[in-house]
Amino acid sequence: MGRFKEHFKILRKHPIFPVLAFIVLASIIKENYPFSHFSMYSNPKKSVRLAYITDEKGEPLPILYHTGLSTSKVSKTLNRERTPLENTAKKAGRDLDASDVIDEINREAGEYVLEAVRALSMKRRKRELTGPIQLIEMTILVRDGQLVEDRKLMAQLPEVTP
Amino acid sequence: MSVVLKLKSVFRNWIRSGFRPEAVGRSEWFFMRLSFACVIGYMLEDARPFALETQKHANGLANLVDLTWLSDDLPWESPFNNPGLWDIFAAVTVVLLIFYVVGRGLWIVLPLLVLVFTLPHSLQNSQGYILHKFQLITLTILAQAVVVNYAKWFRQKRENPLSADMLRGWVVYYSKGMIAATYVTSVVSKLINSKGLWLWKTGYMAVDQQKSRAQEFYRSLDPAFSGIDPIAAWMVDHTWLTRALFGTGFFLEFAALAALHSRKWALLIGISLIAMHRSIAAVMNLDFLNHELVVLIFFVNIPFWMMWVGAKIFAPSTLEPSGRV
Repeated sequence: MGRFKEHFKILRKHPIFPVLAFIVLASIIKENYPFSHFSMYSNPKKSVRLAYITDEKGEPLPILYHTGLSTSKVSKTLNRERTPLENTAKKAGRDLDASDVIDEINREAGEYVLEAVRALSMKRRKRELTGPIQLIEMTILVRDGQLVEDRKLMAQLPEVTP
Repeated sequence: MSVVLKLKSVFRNWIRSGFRPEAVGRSEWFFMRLSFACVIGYMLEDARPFALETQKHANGLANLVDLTWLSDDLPWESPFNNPGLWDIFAAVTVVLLIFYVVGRGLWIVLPLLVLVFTLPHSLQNSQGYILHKFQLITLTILAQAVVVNYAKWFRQKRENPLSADMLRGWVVYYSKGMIAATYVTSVVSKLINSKGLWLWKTGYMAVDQQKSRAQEFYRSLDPAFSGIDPIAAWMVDHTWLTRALFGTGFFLEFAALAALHSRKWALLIGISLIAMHRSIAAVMNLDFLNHELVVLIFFVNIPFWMMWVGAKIFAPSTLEPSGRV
């Protein structure tokens, strides 16, 4: 312990100490701009999910062209909306494995995302998403040594008049 | 002496022989400021935060103040056709950058630059998702602001104030330190979030690789990105090789701290990090151009090495032992 204290005393006076202290600080502060703990790809998983927008026939729509958003942001927004809904359902004692509960949460979070996407598109002249739109969530995983993509309808919005 | 003790002694000597600020010449620091200002100016291209009218998921400063005023309309017609108060922020940034390049009033210019970057990007990160495009730039400016102000208000009032060369050396040292710290922080996050199993879990990177391709496809429906990524399929078939490849990047990120040893180490680490980013961009379509540019300026430091080679060829007597030109 005495040796550790001695080493720490030397380190504290070294010019690199503030750099090391910042690493600890950034790991504690996490995501609070401009600070970040840069946690992208920090916990690779067996399966990942991604959301995208389609028309009523299930044909994908180019999200960047219509809204200026990337697919990644659509997925992140869906997750951000879904987590508190799941927490609320859990607190209320509802079974999060039950398909009706899952569908209800997905629909509520998905409709929020679709509304937000449509609102953004309305600011872009001649690129408005006025027709029926759907939010699809795709799960990518390895099954039997092959990469596969499973798709699920999250929510849909009817046509609107501009 | 055993091999372990010998290695320990070599490592200790290596640590002791560097990791301290080196004197930085006026021209070297000028070229750094000029190129960094160009990168900061280039960031103005992204006007998206000024179109955001809500901050439903407040992040950073947005937790303390409402930042949606950034999307308020200007009282005049914007000649650049950009949303909100972009014109004002761009004008202020350009003026600040001119002072930065000239090297005048840095003690106030740098904190103001931090502020003009932090306000819109805190709002951008308050939308329910986090962008990692601007943090490194803002943090590097912040590091410079802290060093310049520390020197101005505390250090220079002491009996042994820093010489101009050494003050520049401190600013560059902590700019490099901040860049290195962000890479090491990323390593720490990987270790914490994966419970120490990150290297093992890189065996699952194939699904992330496929996700990157699918994201690219659904963004613009470019047929070049449709279907299963051949690299992802290769990863599924070669799990151990995938682990070895990602492991190299992991250790390189951790080794970023070695850039603080000396200019030579900064050059080596800088080139390696840029190569890592280039390979990630080529394989996963994940571009971190800002990171590459900042590494290029402060780690690789091309103007210094050009001047160093020039001095070595044409005027060897002007080359100081510290390497300063």
